[in-house]
Order: sequence, then C-alpha cells, then structure tokens
Amino acid sequence: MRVLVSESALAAWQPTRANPWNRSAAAHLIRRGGFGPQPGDLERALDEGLERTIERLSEAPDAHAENVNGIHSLLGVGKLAHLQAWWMSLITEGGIPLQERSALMWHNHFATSNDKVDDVRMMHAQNAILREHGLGDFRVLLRKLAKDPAMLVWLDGNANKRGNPNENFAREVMELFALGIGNYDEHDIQEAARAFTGWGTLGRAFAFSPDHHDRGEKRIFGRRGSFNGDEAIELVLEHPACPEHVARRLLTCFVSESPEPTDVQELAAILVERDWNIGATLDVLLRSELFFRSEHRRGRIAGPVELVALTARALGRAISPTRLSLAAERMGQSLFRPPSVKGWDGGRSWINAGTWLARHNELASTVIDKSGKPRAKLNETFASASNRREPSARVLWALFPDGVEAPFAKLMREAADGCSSEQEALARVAALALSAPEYHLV
Amino acid sequence: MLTTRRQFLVQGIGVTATLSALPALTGALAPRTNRRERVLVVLQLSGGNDGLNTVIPRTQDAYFRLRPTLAVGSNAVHALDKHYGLHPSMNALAEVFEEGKLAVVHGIGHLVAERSHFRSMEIWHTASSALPLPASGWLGRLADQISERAPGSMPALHIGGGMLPLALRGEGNLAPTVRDPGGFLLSPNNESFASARNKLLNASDAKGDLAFLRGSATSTYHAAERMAELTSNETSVAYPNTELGRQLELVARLISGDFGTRIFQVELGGFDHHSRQAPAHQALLAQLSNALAAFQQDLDESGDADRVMTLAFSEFGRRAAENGSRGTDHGAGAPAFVMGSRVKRGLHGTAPDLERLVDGDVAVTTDFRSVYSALEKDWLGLKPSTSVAPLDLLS
Amino acid sequence: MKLRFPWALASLASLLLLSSAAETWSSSNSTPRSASRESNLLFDALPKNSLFVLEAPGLAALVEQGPNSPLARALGASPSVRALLDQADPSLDQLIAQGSAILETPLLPRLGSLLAGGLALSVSADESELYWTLVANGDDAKKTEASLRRVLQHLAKQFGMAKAFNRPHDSIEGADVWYIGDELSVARKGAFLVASTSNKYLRDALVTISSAKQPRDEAGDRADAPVLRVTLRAEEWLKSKAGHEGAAKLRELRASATDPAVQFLLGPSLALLTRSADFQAELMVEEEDLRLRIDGTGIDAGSFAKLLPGRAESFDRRPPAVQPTSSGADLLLYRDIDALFENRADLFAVETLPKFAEAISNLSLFIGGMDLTDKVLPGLSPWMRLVVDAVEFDEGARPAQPLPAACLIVELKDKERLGGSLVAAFQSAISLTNIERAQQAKPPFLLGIELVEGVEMSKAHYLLTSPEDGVDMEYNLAPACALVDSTFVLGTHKHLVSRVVRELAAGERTKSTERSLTENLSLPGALLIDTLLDNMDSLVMSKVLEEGVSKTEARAELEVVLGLLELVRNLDLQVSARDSEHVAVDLRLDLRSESEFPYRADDSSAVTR
Repeated sequence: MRVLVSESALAAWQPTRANPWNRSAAAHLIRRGGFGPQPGDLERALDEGLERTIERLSEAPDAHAENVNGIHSLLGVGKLAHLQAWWMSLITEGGIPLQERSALMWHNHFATSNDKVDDVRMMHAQNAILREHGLGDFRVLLRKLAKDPAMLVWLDGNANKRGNPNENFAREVMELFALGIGNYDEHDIQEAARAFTGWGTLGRAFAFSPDHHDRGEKRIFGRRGSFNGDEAIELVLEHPACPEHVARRLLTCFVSESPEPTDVQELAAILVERDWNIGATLDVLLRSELFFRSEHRRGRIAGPVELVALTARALGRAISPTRLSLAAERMGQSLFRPPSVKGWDGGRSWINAGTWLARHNELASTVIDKSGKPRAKLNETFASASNRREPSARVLWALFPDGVEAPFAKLMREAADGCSSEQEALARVAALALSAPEYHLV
Repeated sequence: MLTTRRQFLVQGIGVTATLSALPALTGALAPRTNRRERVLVVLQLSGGNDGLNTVIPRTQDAYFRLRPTLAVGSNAVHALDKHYGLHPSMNALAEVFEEGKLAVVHGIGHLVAERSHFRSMEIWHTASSALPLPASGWLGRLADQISERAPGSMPALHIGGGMLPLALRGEGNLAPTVRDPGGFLLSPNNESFASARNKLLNASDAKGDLAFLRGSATSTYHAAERMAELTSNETSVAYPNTELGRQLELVARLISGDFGTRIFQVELGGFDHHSRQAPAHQALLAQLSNALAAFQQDLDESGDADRVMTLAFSEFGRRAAENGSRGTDHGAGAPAFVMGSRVKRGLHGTAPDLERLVDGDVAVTTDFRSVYSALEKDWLGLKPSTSVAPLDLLS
Repeated sequence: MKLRFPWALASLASLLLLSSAAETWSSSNSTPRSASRESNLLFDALPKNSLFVLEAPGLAALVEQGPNSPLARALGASPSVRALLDQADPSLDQLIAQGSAILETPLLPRLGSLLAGGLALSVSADESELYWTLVANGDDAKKTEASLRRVLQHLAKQFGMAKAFNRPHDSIEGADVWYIGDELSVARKGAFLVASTSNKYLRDALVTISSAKQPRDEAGDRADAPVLRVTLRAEEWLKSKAGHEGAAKLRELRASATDPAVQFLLGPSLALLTRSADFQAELMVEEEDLRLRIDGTGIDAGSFAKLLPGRAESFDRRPPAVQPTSSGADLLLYRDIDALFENRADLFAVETLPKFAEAISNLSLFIGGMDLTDKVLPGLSPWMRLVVDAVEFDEGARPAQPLPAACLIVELKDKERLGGSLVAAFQSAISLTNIERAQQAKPPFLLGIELVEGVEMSKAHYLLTSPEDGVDMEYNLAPACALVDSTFVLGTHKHLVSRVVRELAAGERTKSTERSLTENLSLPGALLIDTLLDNMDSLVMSKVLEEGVSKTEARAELEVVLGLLELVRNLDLQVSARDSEHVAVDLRLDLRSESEFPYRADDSSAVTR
C-alpha cells in the first residue's frame, strides 16, 4: 500500500486554526460532493465534523428505493420530460448525493442523447447503469456501457458490420471514454472497429450477430489476435493511459477544470491501487488537501443542473422537478440530451447572453412569481435567527454560507432597506443574490 | 489537429481574461459596428423540403408522370421563367422574384449520399462530410472571425426555441439563443431592481471567472435593453401572424436598429411529409413565402436591403416519384433560395432533369459549399469554410 | 396535511349536504316541472327587470335537518367529503357555532324558521349599475324580528357604532327599515325580510308584499319543489350596459357555438344551448338522486338549425343498443357530419375552412373509390353510439397504464359499397401508420382477420417486442372494425369490438322505431373509479414530478378524488332540442346510499367488475 507522503496534494487535509473546518469548508464539500446544503445541513456539518459529513454524502435518504423506482410507473408513457423530472427529483432531494453527483459526471463523460436514441426506456436503462455502477469498479462500468443498447444506437453500433466497419463506436471509446487523444492512432481505431463488428441491438436489448462479426486477426496497440469486442475493451482498459484519463475526469468534476498533471498521475495511481473503485478513490480525493484548497472553493462556474439543484436545496422548499428540469434546459443543459458525444464543455461555455438571461429569469422565479410579487412563505424559507433578523442578512446566510465581501453585503442591505415590507425585502435581496455572478461560482 | 472547445477555453483563458478584466468595455462600450456592415440571415427548412413541388418543372412531362396525385397543375404556378414556376401558395415570394431580389439555385446538395436527417444536417452545418464530426459549424466559424475583429460584439444569434444548432457553434463562442420573438426579456426588470443589480456588478474588483461572469452579465443586460428599444419601434409592414413571421420581424428590427449582430439563424420545421403531403406542404410554403416577402419589404423600407442576404435551404430534397401514401420519401438535390437586393436574380445552377434521375433522385448539380463560399467570401468578406469555388450569386 | 382542491368540487359537496333534507319533498316518479310558476309571491316581489334570479323553495326544511338527513349521512360516511370539509377554514361546525352565537339560538332550526316560506335573490340592472335584492318569508314574525335585531346589533358592534341600529331608521308600507351604510337597506314586515342595494326596489318589494292576498308562497309548498331554481336572462344581460365581466363571459359562451370543434364534441343541441336568450335551471333531490334540469329558450339557431336532430331529410336510423355492463359507459350522439361539411361556409368562420379541406383530403386518402362528401358522409347515419368500457387485456399484454376502450356503432345506408369501403379504409389506415412507424424504427401493427359469430372482424395490434421491459401505453391501442349487416363497428380495442359484434350478430336486431330526438349519456362511476385505480401509480408519480409534492401528499389528493367518485353510482345525461328554439338538458346523479359504504373493501383492492 502506497503511503501518501504528507507533502502530497492528495494527502488528507488536516484542519488547523488558520485553515479550519468551517462553514466555507463544509459548504464546499457538500456542494462538490453532493448538490449543496439544505437548511440546517451546515450547522450539522460543523457539529459532526469532516468525517461524518463525508459519510453523509453516501447515505440514502428515507424511501430511497421508492424514489429511484418510482419512474417505472411512467416509463410506459414514453415521455422524456418524465425521465428528466425524475432524475432532477433524485438530484435535488430523493437520491444519494454522491451517487447522483457521480451519475451526472458519467452522463457527461459517456454522453448519449435521446435525440437520436429516441426511446425513454433505453435512456432510463443507461441511467440505471450510471447510478448502480458509477461509484464502483470503473472497468465494470465501461464494460456495461459498451454494451448498453442506448449507447450502441447512439454510436451506430448496428451499422458496424464485417466488411463495412463503422468507426464511430471504437473512436469514442478510445478518444472520449477511456484513453484520450494522443494515446492511440487511427489504425488502432480501425482495428478495434473490426473487433466490435456484430455488436448491435435487437429491440431494446443487446444482441450479437456472429454473421456480422469480423473474426480475422487484428492488431490493436501493438498486440495481435483475433480479438472480439469484449477483448478489445479489455485491451483498452489495460492501456496505461486509461487510469489517468479516468483520474482527469474525476479531478475535473470534483476539483478544478484544469488539473495539474502531477495530481492526475497521483490520483490515477490511487485509482489502480484501489482496484479501480471510483467510490474509494473519491474517498481519498474528497478528504484531500487538494480538494479543500481555497483557490478551488467557488472556483468554477456552476452548470445549469447543479445550479438549479443548489438553489432548490438552499431554499428548502418543494419545487416542481418538472419546472427545475425545464429551467436547466433553458440555461443550456437538457438532461439526457447532451449536444454531442463530447458532452457539455462546461466552464465559461455555459455563459452567453441567452443562457445568462435564462439564469437570471429562472432563478428569480423561485422567489418572485410571474406578476412580480414575492412568493409565499419567504420568511420561512429565509428563517430568522438570533444573530440575524434583518432580511438581507437572512438571505445571504442561506445563499452564501461562506460569506460575501463587505461591499456586496452593504449593497444588499441598501436594497432591502428600500423595500416596504419584509416579504418584499426578502424577495428583492434573494433575486439580486441569485442573479449576482458571485452566486454562479460553485 | 482539431482542438476541443475545452482545450481552447482552458488555454485561451489568456485572451478572454484580458477582455473580461475590463468588464465595462464588453458590451457597454463595445465599438458599434459600422452601419454598413453586411448581414447574413439563414433560414433552415427542417425535414427535407420537397423541391420539385416548390420550384415546379411545369414543362416536363415526367413531373406529371412521376407524381400522379401530387403534381401541381401548370396554370396555377407563378412563373419564374419558361420552364419553372413557384408553388401556387408562394405568390408573395413570386413578387419578390419579379422585383429582382430572389435567386433560385437548382439541384443543391451535398455530394455524399446521405438520407438521414441527423447526418445530413450535420454535413450542412459543418460544411463537411468528414468524420469525426468537426466541433464547430460554418456560421460559428464566421462568428469567430467577426469576434476577432470586433471583440465584445454579439456576432451571431439563434432565433427560436430548441437547442443551439451545430452551424452556430464556434471555436471561441456559442451564439446566444433568443427564445422569444420579443427579444431578450428580463424578469424582473423594474428600475429599482435593475439599478441595484448594476451596482452589484461593480461592487468590488474581480478577476478570473468572476470578472468573466460580470462582463457577460453586463453585456446581456445591455443587449436586452437594446432589444427592448428596437422591438418597440413600429413597422409599417404587416408580417404574417406566424412564429416565423414574428422571428423575422425581430431580425429586421435588430438589423435596422444596428444591434450589431451580423449572422442570424432561424428555423421552420415540419417538411418531412412521407404521407398526405399536399395540404401540409402548401401551408408551410405559404408561411415561408409570406414571411420572407414581408421581411424583404421591411428591409427595403428601412433602407437596409442593400446589406442583407437571406439563404433558405433544406437538408435534402425528396424523391422524384411520389410514394403510395401521397407523400414523398427522402431524396437528394433540391433548390435553395437566396434573397436580397444585391442578389443576381434568376435561376442558377443546372436545372433538374427528370429523365436523368440518379437512383430515383434529382441529381445534385450544385455543391452547397459553393453557395456557402459565395456568401462567406463574396458577401461577408470573410474566410470561407472550404476551398470550393464560390457560385456567382451577387450582382 | 394540506390538501389543495378545486372549489367546484367543494361546493358540489356542500350542495349535496344542503340538499339532504329535501328528501322529505321527494317523489321518485315526478317529472321535472316546466318553467311556469303560478302564484309565487317572492318572485313577484323582486324587480321586474331582474337579469338573474335565484329561488330556494326547498331550502328551509333542508337547512333544518342539517347533518341528520340520510343523504348528509351518506356523504358524511365518505372519507373524502369529511376530508374536504375538515380542510375548510373556518369549518362548517365553526360557522354554525358562530351563527348560533350571534342569533343567541341554534342556527339551523332558526334558519329553517326564517326561510320556511322561501327565499329569493335577484340581480338587476338599472343603467350601468347592478343591484341585488333579497326577499325571504318565515313562519314566525317574532323569531324573524328577534333574529334581525340580533344580527343588526352584531353589525353595529363590528362597525363600532353600538346603538346605530337599535331603532328602525324608517317605516315603509308598515315595515321597519334600516339603512346600513350607503348601499344596503334592510326591512322587516311580519315574517318577511327584504334587503336590497336599491331603495326603490326595496320599496317596490314591500308594496308587493303588503298588497298580496296570499301571505305564503304557495309554490314553495309543493312537494316536488326544487331545492334551487335559477333564472338567467342572458340576452337582456348582454343588452344592458352593466356587469361587464359577466357579459364578457356570456359573449364567449355564445360564440363558442360557432366553433367547429365545439359543434363536433358537444353536439348541435348542446352547442345551441349556449345561445339561449333565457336560461332556467332547477336542482332537485329524489331519494338519493340529484337531478339538474336546464332549459334554454329563445334560441336563435340560424343556419345551425340544419344540424339538429329531426332535420336530416334522408337517412337517420338509430344504431342498435348493446347490453350495459357495470363499468361501461354508453353514449348516443347525434352528429350530422354531412350537414356540417355541406354548410360549413355558412356556419363557421372563414379561417376554419382550410381545416375542413384538409380533413376531407386526409379522409379521402383512406376511402378509395368513393367521394367523401358525395357518397360517404351522407351514407352515415347521424345517430352514433359510443360504448366505452374497461378491457380485459390478454396475458402479458396489459399496459402499465391501462385505459378503457371505445367503440363506435353507426348505421350505414349502403352496406355493400360503403360498408366494404369503410373496412378497406381501416386497413389502409393501418398500413399507412406502419409506414410511418417503420421510419421511426418502431414495431408495426400486425393486421389480421377474425371470425366472430360468422362476421369478419378486421383487427390490428402492435407486436410486443420486449415484454420484459413492461408494456407501453401505446399497447392500449389494438383497433378493430366489422360490418354486421348494415351496422358498422369500429373500436380502439378488438376485445370490445368483438364483444359488441357478438351481441349484434347473435341477438335480435331490434330496429329502433321511436322518433325521439334525445341524445344521452350513461356513465357508471365504476368506469372512472376503475380507470383511476388502474393508473394510480402513474398518476401519483406524475403529480410528484409535476408539482413537487411528496408521494404521500399526491396519493392523498388522488384518494380524495377517488372517494368522491365512489359516491357516484351512475351519471345520466339527456339532451334534447325540442325545436330549434328550445333545448333541454336533464342531468341525473345517482349516488350510493349510506349503507353501501365503505365502498371498497380495503384500500388496495380494485373494484370488482
């Protein structure tokens, strides 16, 4: 077992007085490891400490199985909107935080769009794989997704036949899923495509057609053999670039958009040590000094799905999952419909005039209704407490648990003062806070 | 080697950081584009428009033979020349042709046989049939070039619901989508809210992503304000009361109001008629014709007609023979329309010969990329996507 | 647990409760009364130009019995009704307690006394102002006096003017009169109470009452008096300059008759009802049944008269009836599609005409060889029967969202040519659908023929490709059609069609000879209950995703709906156009009696069929 030297960025973070386990650290952990705190979560995190808080990210809420299985009664109707709303409901409330976070990460990594697959049951089946295996052995995850019917339809698996290979599937497995550009050449792709011939779908299930399979000898990554599809996948997994490709994805999702090469290598080694178990690897990562570094806290632009989820959870109010999913779509991220196999690029590409407008309007509508009046019960949402009674303080406490700059707080207070009622002040400050660029950094 | 957008954004942070470090500059004080800058409007007809029933080969017997129930009688069509005429419901567009502002390009298409909507649109959008799929589209690349010359402007806009088309994806930026034909409508937007919001944007110094977000927010609010100003301008032209009509009306307002955008994409869907084609196709062509004609008239009246060119295309045509359910199946070559006061009027390209079909389809005699080149290079004065020689479309 | 619920259903529940005591007036064989009224003193006391009048002849006895009547007990036995009443704030009990406190005597019996001779309320217009007038007659002047006094004292306290109403402000025609604020005047003479927002109408009412020979409202004494009677003079309302909001809604209602979709869905008679100059509605209770009768008179049908029953010159044979089942709905509709198409230019707005053209074009596609408007439409009888019933799905073919099937039964004029063409049209439609489904890589319909009692039935069903996935909603559709002699049968599921065909083929063909012009609907509560129960999981989940409520909350709300549906044994609706100027609607709601509760044995069991 490799000993993590204390200078290693992935060594466990030790809170100190200068760098304590405080609201900022707890919020960062719950935001990145899950989808943000609900009212009371931060107080509890501070009480219980780092370890217990990490554990909670993997704990199932009440009626978890029921929440996950509830969609079965609607799959027969065949509407994608139901599936989108269902996943959104798991993300905001009914799911296991870390499990849903990783499922969303894998959805982006193994991006498949219903626009081409056009079958809600198949998209659901793929999503189930992401949920069940997303924190398990990555090798199992890749093997299962490689034969997932939705994936095969998406990547033209059915068109890949002996004598007329279609390289789409092989290319994406190498370029996007497992290895990354530069770790294979065109020849590898062509030969791997031959190995995958015969893989396809019948109805909604995986089917292998021996007649269409090319049994000839192939040369992949310098190895020779009459490889079939399963064996080609194993070759890919055995490629030295694979662990780093996976590690890079984990770092990009949980830590920062441009990870250091040394961190990537180190995390890759940890992944392999832990038998490719994603959950165990994340265990190390989420406790690490690297993760808790201040430059990574509120260090990237929030994506639409995570932004609406964070907001819904922070408000602690039941909001229609259908509405939330539609809001995320208008902001540029439609669940189960990534724009291409490359997924959503994220970061600054989330932002343009149209999507910023959507962020502004959709988030404001959680606290203000169509006619401009404050929504009901805002005083409960932004509860008062002994140390804060003034409206702007209450809102900032809920939405910016790690605090804000003084000028920002001052401007919020002025905005609240200009209102004629408490409800109005809460709504005004909340709408301003939600549309402030600071809020969109996660 | 194609860089992924992520790589560009990560490595290109230097460029954008410089821009975003001056939030006041982006949008608010962005150099107003020279009023005489040329504009390109692209109207996508989604589903595969039946070209043979749009630009009708009324003197070819084969037309009536191949389409016993769908063929349109010769008297009813609006003659474009001796041999061709527009579908009867396109009287408005026929008038535009009479005024010399419409060009028809025969037999346009891509040279690769491809009957899938998905794949065919990808080829049109990226101006390439190469795989793997390029990450950017032809309009996006034009937008990138415009951005380089005029940073901070909004070079391209997508008008309509739905996801951003691949055509508009650029290396450096993604064109915003304007969902509502009323423009960017902020809510809430009363004065006190807006002023508090603006104060927050200047609350403190910022760098990196925060500065970028502030810059984007500022330019969004300015764009929304500007659009609100422009859409409140009255127009004397009566646009048809359809979604397309309202969208083109917005485009005209933005052009005549010098909003700054130079590339627009709009869509009209529903052309995929495998059965019972006649009534639905007729309705769509009427919509298309009325909206385009109103658009051109509006530009004529605002004095902007000289600098706007509109391209209407579909991802493929339909087969020459009708199928058994009074509809048509996916085909190949079809006509495209190029509309503008500076267009070379008339019918371009090689007219389809129904006696010499290719596998039952109208032959593709004009490479669509030649139309692109003409619009990119000759019209907009930018670097074209491909090296295919431009069609002679401008007067 | 907060339950949100539409007001309409809550008011229905309270109406049912209020109507309970009218049982004493019940006479199960009574025919509905027509609009005439003989001596009706209260009505006469109201302004002559009233636009809207509400009378409650049967209200008093009903209020007196309150929650003790059999029907109220039946409703009280339903958990849904109790849940609805519980969620009211303030609750019914609280309101009664408050009222009793003000009157210093139990509320309900006192109300019974105050209203013993009837109650009437009117809305009238004078220039552009609306005025309200209310008259009531009690059975004991002393009680009326005492109650009025206490109410006025209570009001005075509310306004902070303690002694303002201690003595009457005025006396008119021997009645004591009080003026409340600028708007309202209240008067009492003997056991009569009058209130109005217009002094003039108050005075007129008092004059009428004073000069009346009979002190009581005779109409209210009749055993078959309705609980409520409403009269609305719609045309007068529109002519007056008052009540703009109401007028706008009335105009919308009237305009709806000219919408082709409304004509087709509601039928010509019901659509014309909206154009009545005057409406009268009566609500009666007979045993456990509620009966609502609406009469629309003074209808100016114009060209729409051509669409009414009895107008068709040629062919209008009625389709045979089928055996009703415990869960089957039966509708007999009159839709003269031929006349609709033929007269469309006269009847409908010019913007709708292209849709007709498109419909003709689409339908013609299927019916090869016969002209649609010339031969097909005139060959269909306008009397159409629609049977809706639950389906016994085959093993492994039951959708996760099972829906009832519908079956159309219609007589044909020319069974050889038209009948054959329609069956062929069915087959064409299936084939065309298959082409489109092939494009979408979806499984096709399998077309087949089955012999049912010697009759050829064409049928189609989707191939079930991966049953282990679950059966999708589209598998509810397994259409079939058949021609039994001159009767054409077309339905959404072959099991229902097959059952209908079997009955028609084997049974006696009773050709209906009566010339009744009535359309009717019979809908058993069981059909709605079954459908709701079968789809409960999907509906709960759908609510959860749409509204953001928890599963428990969603389920609770749906259980309330289910509970209300359980009250209904059957719903019967009859619509008849007496002539082109008068349309009558008769709605009958058969409720279950208290002894039938609880209707479901336990929460999870489905209703037995």
